Amino acid sequence: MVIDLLKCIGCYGCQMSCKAENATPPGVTLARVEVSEVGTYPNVTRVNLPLLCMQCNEPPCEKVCPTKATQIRDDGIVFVDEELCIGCKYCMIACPYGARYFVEDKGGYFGDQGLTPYEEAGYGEQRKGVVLKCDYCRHRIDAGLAQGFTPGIDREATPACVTNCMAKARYFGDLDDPNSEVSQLVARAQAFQLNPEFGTDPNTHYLPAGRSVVATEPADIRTKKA
Amino acid sequence: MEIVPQGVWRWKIAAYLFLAGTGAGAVIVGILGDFMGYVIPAKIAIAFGVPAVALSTLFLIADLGRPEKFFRAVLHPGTSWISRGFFIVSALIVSGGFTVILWVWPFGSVLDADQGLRTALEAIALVFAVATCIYTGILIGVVVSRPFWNNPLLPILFLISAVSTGIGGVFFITPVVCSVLGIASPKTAEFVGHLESVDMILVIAEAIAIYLYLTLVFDRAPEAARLLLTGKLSGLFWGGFLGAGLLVPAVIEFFSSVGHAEVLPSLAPLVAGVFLLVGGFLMRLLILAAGIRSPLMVRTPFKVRPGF
Repeated sequence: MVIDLLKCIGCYGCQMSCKAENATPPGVTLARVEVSEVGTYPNVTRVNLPLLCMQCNEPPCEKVCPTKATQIRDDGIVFVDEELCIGCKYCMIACPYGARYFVEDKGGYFGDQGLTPYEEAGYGEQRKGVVLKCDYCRHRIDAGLAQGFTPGIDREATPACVTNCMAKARYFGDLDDPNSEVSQLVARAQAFQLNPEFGTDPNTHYLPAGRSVVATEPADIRTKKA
Repeated sequence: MEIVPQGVWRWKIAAYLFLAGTGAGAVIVGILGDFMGYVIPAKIAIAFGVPAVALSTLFLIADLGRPEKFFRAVLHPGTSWISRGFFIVSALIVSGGFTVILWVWPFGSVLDADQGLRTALEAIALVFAVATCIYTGILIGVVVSRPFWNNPLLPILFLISAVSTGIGGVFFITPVVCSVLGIASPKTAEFVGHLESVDMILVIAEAIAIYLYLTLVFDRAPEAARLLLTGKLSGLFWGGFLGAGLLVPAVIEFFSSVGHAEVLPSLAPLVAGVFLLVGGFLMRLLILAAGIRSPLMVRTPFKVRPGF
């Protein structure tokens, strides 16, 4: 995934679409936007930084996981097998990006009324006491691929945050394919990884907010017919 | 921007690190004491240390989201220090446990008769006790994105503190056991007296280690260092850990070793022991809490809620 910080307007659409898609409990934002002011007066600017799991090639969370609940798929997606997770939270300690969340037994969004059926499906008993993370909506990718859709092109096979980004600041595709849009952006548009000094080699790249070259428009994944 | 302390691993993990360190430290003290001929106090120290280590693991398990699946933590020793620690701590509990069972209770006389077996068991337990103390520092020290911990001095600091708090535990438990069982002896008092001198050196070493530690991490983790020295945690750090946990026991030990008590139970080491234990727990708690993440960088420093 490539996220263009020049295009991001900080609308939190990714955060909300992620919550809707993945039915996460209160306090868990697998995709989130952090907003900060940088610089000193009078040269101050506001930066929106959309964050999610970086899907690192060298994920520290996977290395520290004592149960091998955190695994890496062949396509590079890092995910948690919730059956294996014992909730030790070592991965949350190890992740440099704050991309992991522990599901505490603190109820849902409606207090004393208990969980709605939707909430029950998302974070009922099966997810209590485990650690959740973004997995690029692997359920959408897998279901979409099974129906012949292409991730990054067709919304059926693309992560919810990408399809929902109204500023089209997110690009999704196969970084192993040198001709894919994301590969081209990474190669040409001054893309950078967050804190590469941690040795994590993320698969989520960012295009800087302060740059002169505007990236090419993404394929319109909203209107393309299957 | 207000800096929030690290909130993922809290007091239960601090209690685990503290009890595992204290128990392992007491086992080290007991075994070295036995090697030097102090049999009775060695038995007391080991019989205190091994259950303390066993108790520590309960805190670790209680912190899990799925405590009933704790045994799965052994599955990834290739890279995970929780898995490796599981083996190290288990080995200490097993080897130390056999020492206690065959030497103290319920089969107290077996190892009194078999000197060779006793030395062998003690040597194994000693290795894993030292490994346990060091491992608790490595566990959090390997995390590169939390620069306050990612420091080679941390395991050393934890080892010094573990032996010191182990001595604190021995100070506390020895007079109690001796007076309850009526086995106070000049030899035991002599051992405790030696420990007071040793612990004074350890406390000074720990103070130096803390100073060097903070000097080392200050450039790499300024927010974390400030959190301890002047921020939210500064009261506990200066008053709790440095004052009550290091200075007070050192002063008590100094005056106690000057006017040496001839026969136990003497109150001075017992009081010093309590302060040492409190200080050891606070140290683990503070170091855990100060382990905040590095800010994320977007060309210019972009600080994403450090500590979250």
